[in-house]
Amino acid sequence: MKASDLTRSMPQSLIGLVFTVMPLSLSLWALEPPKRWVSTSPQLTELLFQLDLGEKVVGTTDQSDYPSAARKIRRVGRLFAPNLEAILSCAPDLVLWDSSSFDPTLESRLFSMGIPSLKFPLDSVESVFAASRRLIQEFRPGKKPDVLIRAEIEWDLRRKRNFSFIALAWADPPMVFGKKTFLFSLLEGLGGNSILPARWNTQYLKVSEEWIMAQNPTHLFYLKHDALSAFATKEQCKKWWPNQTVECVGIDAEKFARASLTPLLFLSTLDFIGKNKQ
Amino acid sequence: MNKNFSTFAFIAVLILAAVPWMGAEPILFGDIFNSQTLGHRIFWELRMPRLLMTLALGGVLASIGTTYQGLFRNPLSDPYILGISSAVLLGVVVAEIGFNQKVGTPISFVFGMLSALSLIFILMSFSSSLLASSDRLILFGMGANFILSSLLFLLLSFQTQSVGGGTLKWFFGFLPWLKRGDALFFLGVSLLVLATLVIFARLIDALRMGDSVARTLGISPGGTRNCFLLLTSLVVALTVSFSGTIGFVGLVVPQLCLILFRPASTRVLLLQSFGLGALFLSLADGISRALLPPFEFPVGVITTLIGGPLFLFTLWRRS
Amino acid sequence: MEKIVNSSLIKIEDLVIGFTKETPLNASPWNFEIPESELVAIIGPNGSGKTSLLRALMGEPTGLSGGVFLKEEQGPVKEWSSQKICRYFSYLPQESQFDPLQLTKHQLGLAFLPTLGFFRTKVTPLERERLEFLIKESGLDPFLNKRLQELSSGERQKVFLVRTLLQNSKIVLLDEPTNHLDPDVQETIWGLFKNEIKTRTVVVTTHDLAQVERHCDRVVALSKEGLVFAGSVSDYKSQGIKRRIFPLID
Repeated sequence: MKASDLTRSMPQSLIGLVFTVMPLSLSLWALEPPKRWVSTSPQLTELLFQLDLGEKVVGTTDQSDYPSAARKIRRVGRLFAPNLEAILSCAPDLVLWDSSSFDPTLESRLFSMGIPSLKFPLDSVESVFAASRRLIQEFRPGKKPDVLIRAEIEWDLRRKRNFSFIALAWADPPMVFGKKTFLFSLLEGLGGNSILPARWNTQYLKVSEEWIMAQNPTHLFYLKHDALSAFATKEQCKKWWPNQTVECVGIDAEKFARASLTPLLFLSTLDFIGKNKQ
Repeated sequence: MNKNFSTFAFIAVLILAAVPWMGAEPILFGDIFNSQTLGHRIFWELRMPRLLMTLALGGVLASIGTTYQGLFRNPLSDPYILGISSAVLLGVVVAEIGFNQKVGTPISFVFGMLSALSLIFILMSFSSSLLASSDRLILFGMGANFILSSLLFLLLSFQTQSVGGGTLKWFFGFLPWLKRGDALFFLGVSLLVLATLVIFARLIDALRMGDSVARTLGISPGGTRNCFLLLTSLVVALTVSFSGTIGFVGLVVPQLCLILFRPASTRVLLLQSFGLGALFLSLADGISRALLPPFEFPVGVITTLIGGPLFLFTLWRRS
Repeated sequence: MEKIVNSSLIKIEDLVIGFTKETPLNASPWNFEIPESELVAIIGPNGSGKTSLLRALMGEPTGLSGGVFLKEEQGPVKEWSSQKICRYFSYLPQESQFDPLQLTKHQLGLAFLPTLGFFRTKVTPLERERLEFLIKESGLDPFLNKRLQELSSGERQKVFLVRTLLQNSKIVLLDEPTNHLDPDVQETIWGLFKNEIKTRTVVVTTHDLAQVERHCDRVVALSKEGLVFAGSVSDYKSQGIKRRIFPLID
C-alpha cells in the first residue's frame, strides 16, 4: 500500500472508525456483537461470505450475485443506491460500505437512528487484505477462514514477472483501469509496470485511441465477457498495433472483475503472463 | 373565487394526508400509534420530517420564483436563473475532485456556500452600478450561469466514475432524510423568508414601473434590488446545498397561481405560490418514492415530468 | 434671455445632457430657471433632448455635467437620495412599464407608497378627496377593478397620469402625457394641469403647440442645435420662437 493511498483513504476511514467502531466496540460489541448486517456493495457481500461472515448479512443491494447464497438475501436498493427505508426494514445493527458505495448523508442519518457503519476501501489488493484482517479480528478472532489463508499464500508466493500493461475496462470508447482500481493493483502486484503517467489518478480513465496507439506495452488486458466482445476487442488490438508486438490477453471477467478474495484464488491461471519474457 | 378556493383546499388536505403513506416500505395504519413497530419509526422519524421539508422547500422555491418574476418582469425567471445553483455545484464538485470530499460532508457544504457567496457578491456589485437595471441584471446573471455551468461540465467530463454516486444526482435534485428538529428548523426559515417577502411585496410592484418612477416613490432601486438579491440568493444557495437543483417548482407554480386564482396583488400571489409550491413538491416527492420501490427517483426528475406539461398548459391559457 | 425671478424653484446650472460623455446633446451648457407654481412646457423636434432634459431635472444620469438645484436644498439633484427625490418629484415616462395583470386601483395605490409604507391601506380624508376628484375628472371609475391589460392604451395612459398626479410632490414631470389620448380628453387633462399648478409646479414635454400657447406659463424650446429659448410664454409668442424651431408650421 502506497503512502498516498493511506493518506487519501485515511480521513474518511478514520472518521468512520473513530466515531463508530472505537467507542462502540469498546462498549457494545464486547458484550453483544452486531448480528444483522447490511452490505451496500456486492463485492463487500462476497468478501463477507468468503470470511465466513455471510450468515450475518440480512440485506444487500442489487447485483450481489456471488456467491449463490447471496442471491437469496433481501435487496435494499439498486447498485450503489441503497434505500434508507429498505435498510431499516431489515432491522440491522451494522451497515457496511466500501469506497464506491459510501454516502456520508445516509451514513450520518443511520447513525442518528442508532445504527453504526463501517467503511472499507476495496480499491487494491492490500486494502482487501486489510479489510479482511480487520473484519476477522473484530468478529471472528482466532478463526481465520481457509479461503483467506489460501489467498494470502497465493499472493505471498506469487511469481513476479516483468511486463508492462494497459488494462482495458472498455474498448469502445477506450476506458482504462486506473490506479485506484483493484484489477490495476492486482496486475501491478504481479510485477506489471503500468505505463500510465504518474499524475493520472482517477479510477476509470477515458483515453484517446491515439494515446493507446503511441504506447508500447507488452500486454493489453481486457475483460472477457463473451465471445463476441472478445473478438471485437482483439480486432481493435490489431488495429492499434498492426505489427503484433503487444500481446492481447482476455481476462475472465467473472473471476477477476471483483474486489474480493476470488481473483486471488485464481492467480495461477495468470501464470502464462510474461512466460516468454522472464 | 370562493368555490375555487374550497375545492383547492380540499385537494390540498387530501394530498397532505396521502403523502406520508407513500414510500418504499408499506406501513399499516395502526403502526403509527404503536411505537414498537418499524412502521412507526419510518412514519414519524423519516416521512413526517420529509413532508415538513418538502413543504418548506417547495414553498420557499415558489415564492422566490414569484419574486424574481416580479423583479425581473420576466415570466421565465426561476430561482436558479442567476446562476447560484451552478456556483454551489461548482464548489461541491471542486471539493469532490480536488479534496476527495464526497457530497454531504461539511467541507463540501462550505465550498459550495463560499462559491455561491462570491457570485452573490459579484451580482450585488453589478446591481449597484449605474449600468444596472432589472433587465440587465437578469442578463448578467444568465451570463454568469453559462460561464459557471461550462466550468462545471469541464470538471465533470473527466471525472467519470465517482460522479455517478455523488455529484450527478444533484443536477436532478434529491431530498435528504432529515431529522425532525432539522426539518422544523427548515420550515421555520422558509416561513420567515415568506414573511419578509410578503412584507416588502409592494417594493416589487414599485420596481416594476422602472427605476426612474421607483425613485420618485422613495425607493432606491439598486439598494432594494440588492436586498432582495441577498436574501433570495442566500436561501437558494442553502437549498441547493441540501438538495441540488429542483426544477420547475419556482417557474411553474407562480404561473399556475396567476391562472387558477387570479390574485389581486403581488402580496397575495406570494402567499398562494408558497402554498401551491409546498403541495406540489410534497406530492412530487411522494411519487418519487412510491413509483418504483425501492428505487427513489430524484425529486427533480418528477417535478420536471409534471412541471413541463403544466408549464405548456399555462402558456396556452395565458395567451 | 429670460427674467431672473427671485423665488425660482428650480435652477439649472451649466447643464449638459446626453447618454454618454462622448456624445452630449448640447455643446454649450445650459442655464435657466423655473419658478414655482408654473406650468412649463418643453418643446422641440424629436431627438432634441426633451426627455433627457426632463429626466435630468430629477437627477437621472442623462445629466452629464452641471447640476439642477432646488430652492432651499443642498447639492444638485443628481446626488440626492431616493427619499428626498420622492418628496419633490413625480415622473411619468413616455412609455410606462407595467405589470399587465395588476389591478387599476392597485396601480393608483402605488402613488401613496411613500406615505403608506408597506402595510397601511387607509389614506387620509384629504388624499381620498383628491383621489376621488382625479378619478372622476379622468373618467377612470368603471376601470378600477380591471386589470391593466384589459384597458386600451389611452385608458392606461390616464391611469398612469392620475397616479403621477396623485403623488404628493412639489414638482410633476410628465413626458408627453397626452400621447394616446383623444382631443376632448386632452382638453380635460390640460385643465387638470392648470388646476395642479395652484399648489405645485408642472413640467410637461409635448408636441401640442396650441395647448402650450393657451395654457402654459413658461416655455423651454429645444432644437437640434441646442437650447433656443427659456422664458415666459408671452416672450415666446412675441419673439416668434415657434417659427425658429418648426419652420414648416404657419
